[in-house]
Amino acid sequence: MKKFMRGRRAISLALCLSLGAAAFSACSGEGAPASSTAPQPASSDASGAAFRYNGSSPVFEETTTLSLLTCNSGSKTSDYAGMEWFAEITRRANVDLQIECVDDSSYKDVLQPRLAAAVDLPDIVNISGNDADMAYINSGIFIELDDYYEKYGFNLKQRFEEEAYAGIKGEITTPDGKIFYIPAMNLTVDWCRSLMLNMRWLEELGMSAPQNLDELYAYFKAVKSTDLNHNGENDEIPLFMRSGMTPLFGNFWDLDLMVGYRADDSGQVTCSYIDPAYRDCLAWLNRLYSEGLLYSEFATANLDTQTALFHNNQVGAIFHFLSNCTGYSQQIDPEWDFESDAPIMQPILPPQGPNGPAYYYGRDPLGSCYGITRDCKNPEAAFCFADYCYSQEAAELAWYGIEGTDYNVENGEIVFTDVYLKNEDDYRTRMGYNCNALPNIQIPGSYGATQCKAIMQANELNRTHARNPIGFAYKLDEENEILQSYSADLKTYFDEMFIAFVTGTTPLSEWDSYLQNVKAMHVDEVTAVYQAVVDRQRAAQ
Amino acid sequence: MTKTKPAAPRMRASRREALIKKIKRDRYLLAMVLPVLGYYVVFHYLPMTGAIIAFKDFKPGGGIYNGEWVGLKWFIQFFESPYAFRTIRNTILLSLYSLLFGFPIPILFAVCITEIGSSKIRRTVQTVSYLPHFISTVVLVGMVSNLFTMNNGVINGLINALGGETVNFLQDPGWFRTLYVGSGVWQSFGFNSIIYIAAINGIDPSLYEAAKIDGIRKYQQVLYITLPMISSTIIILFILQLGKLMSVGFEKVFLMYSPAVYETADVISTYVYRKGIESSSYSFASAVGLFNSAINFLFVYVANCICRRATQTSLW
Repeated sequence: MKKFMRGRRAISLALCLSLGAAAFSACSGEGAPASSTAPQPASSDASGAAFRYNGSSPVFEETTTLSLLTCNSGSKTSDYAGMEWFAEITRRANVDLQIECVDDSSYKDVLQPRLAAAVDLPDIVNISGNDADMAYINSGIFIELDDYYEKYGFNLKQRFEEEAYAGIKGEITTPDGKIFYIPAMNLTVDWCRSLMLNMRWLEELGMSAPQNLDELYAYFKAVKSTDLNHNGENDEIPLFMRSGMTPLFGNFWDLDLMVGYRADDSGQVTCSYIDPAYRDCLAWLNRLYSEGLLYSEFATANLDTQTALFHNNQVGAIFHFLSNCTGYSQQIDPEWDFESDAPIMQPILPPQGPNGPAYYYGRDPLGSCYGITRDCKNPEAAFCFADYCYSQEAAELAWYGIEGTDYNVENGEIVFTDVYLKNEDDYRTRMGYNCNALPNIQIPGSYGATQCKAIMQANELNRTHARNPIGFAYKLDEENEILQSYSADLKTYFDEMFIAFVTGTTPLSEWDSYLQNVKAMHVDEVTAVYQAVVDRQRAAQ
Repeated sequence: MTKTKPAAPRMRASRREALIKKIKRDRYLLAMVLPVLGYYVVFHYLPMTGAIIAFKDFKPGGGIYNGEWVGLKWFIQFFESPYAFRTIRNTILLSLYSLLFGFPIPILFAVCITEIGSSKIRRTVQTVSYLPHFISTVVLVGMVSNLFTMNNGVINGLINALGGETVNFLQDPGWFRTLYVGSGVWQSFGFNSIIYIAAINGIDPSLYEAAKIDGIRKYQQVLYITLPMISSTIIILFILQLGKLMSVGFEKVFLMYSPAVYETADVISTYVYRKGIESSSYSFASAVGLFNSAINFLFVYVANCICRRATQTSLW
């Protein structure tokens, strides 16, 4: 009995000591000086292997352990054990990757407190955004990477030069000319948000693809008055839009209602929400709404509503990412085969609006950013591994999978295997293809395997009509102060009034008082911040 | 007098001895209280010191106590916002309506249910009534939007069948409060009635018997025996409810609202969330949270004072 007691006491003592030690080390960690200074080559001699990295695998000669905090936003899978391509990337790089993958929906809730505390961070952190106000950069949590880019950025530097990601280097360079992050890179003009029409209906109505807004309106009108899904009910919805999507229509009036601010060719920035053309845009949308052509719950409808409506074949048009076309067609007709049949929902070229040239919005090349933390013991190694993820070899693994299992190369072209194409039990999602938990890059043709040919062709056409929005840029302290004070309130007011004007709860006759309110909410100061950003970008080019 | 003087230290010593004796005697009970006490100190009282960041410019990685002092900057920023008044009004109104309808219904329900003679029916009704409590907010909001949507919604179907006009419930700011409070009452009245049912069951049956002999009517029985006997429970719960007046559940509003209904739906917490997301401004969020808590505390304090004066029942 006594022996047992003594044993228990020993255990509790040990527990107390370890707790105390943990608390102590946590405290001392907080007090440690921020090592946000330039890399120290002296320390890296010990790791050795990193210096032999030349841009391709293997990254290290000896297995190197790295840790990563990230989320699974692309695919919803976080079971890395079953992902062959992922194992292949780490195997080729010779990395033992300790990955902490949080579900995308709660990632910000996990990430923000951890970065706010900034204790015991892993080597690489996906910051789930771009640190627009430089809060993390200024806090010294992430180390400066210029020297690493210079020494080891074999693939990254090359990608920065490629046309597909134009401008990305300027975007992640701080106003004083430094780089702190490794950016995920998006294709800017491919798969842009386009207007997609139900081609079977269009054909049945004997119409051709609308070339301007009047023809588009005529198509909506025809859909409304015809029983195109042959169910005996007048339940066709000419234009379905989900909450937050309707402002996309601004591009036909040469406005950017998604960002809210737009630069013209001379670099002059205006706020689209106070532009006289915006009033015309609202009048047009209000007409659609009041005549029942725009979905009555466009401000609240969610993905479930959308899926249900497509399954019932009620939708005449939708405006969203072009790559969704195949999915819509599958929902309308489960028998539809994307290999052989023409798509049911198909993108059209941008109809001509009343203002300026017809175009669709392109995308900012900058995706989520990855930083190397001040707690990282071997930043060279972390950087080299990240750089390897941008090599063609790694990108193809991430998008196409393993040669032999998922595709074969025949006459220099990639031919996917049945396993990959048939996608049984959602094979591709399970395998984590298009998973952007690692530093990642969208390569041209990356969606190719999952799209039918007609949609690939539509993409080729539409990409020439895409126009990029104001690119991302870091803001200076005083600019952040202005944005922090006013931009959220302005956005609240813009969002609210957009719906009020479109639904007619506020008539357009109150436009002038709307303008006055916006002015009183300091819109000019916020516009001036975007102007300064564009000026800096143009000067840098 | 001369005798008592040397007695004092002895008494103090004996008191200390008695205390030690008591502690020794109750050591296991005390040990059982310790974890709870520790929990409150570590997770509730120590974090309170973090409220200091409401007066500082908190920077990530800099530690809670290190930022620069900025005085009332964040409070001023909140009150200068064009939406400060609207969000405070919406918060208070949503709470008030929830209290107005959500508070008496469980009491009435408890009174009714205890009057049901058959225990089988009573139990069934009770179980059915408190089941909605276990539905998660996400599911509840999903149910509300499916029922009230214009597109094949059951409620609009009924309205149409009765010859009425379709109502855009989900996009009309005028309907938001009704939907919010109505669904809230539906979800919680059964579960909230449990405590009243327990209180009613605890009433001495001899009171009812005596009253019956005097020829009391049913409604008089409720009015003169049941309600007065559970009045202290009602008052305590009422004071506690008032303490939540400024804190409307964030998730439910966040899930239910859209820019279309900001006018009536945007509450303090959702507004701070939107503003905070723009630039992880922890200090701003803390300042508004602190303001919220202070008002809540004031409400509890005043309600408690009033109740103590008026009814002699109170929290403290």
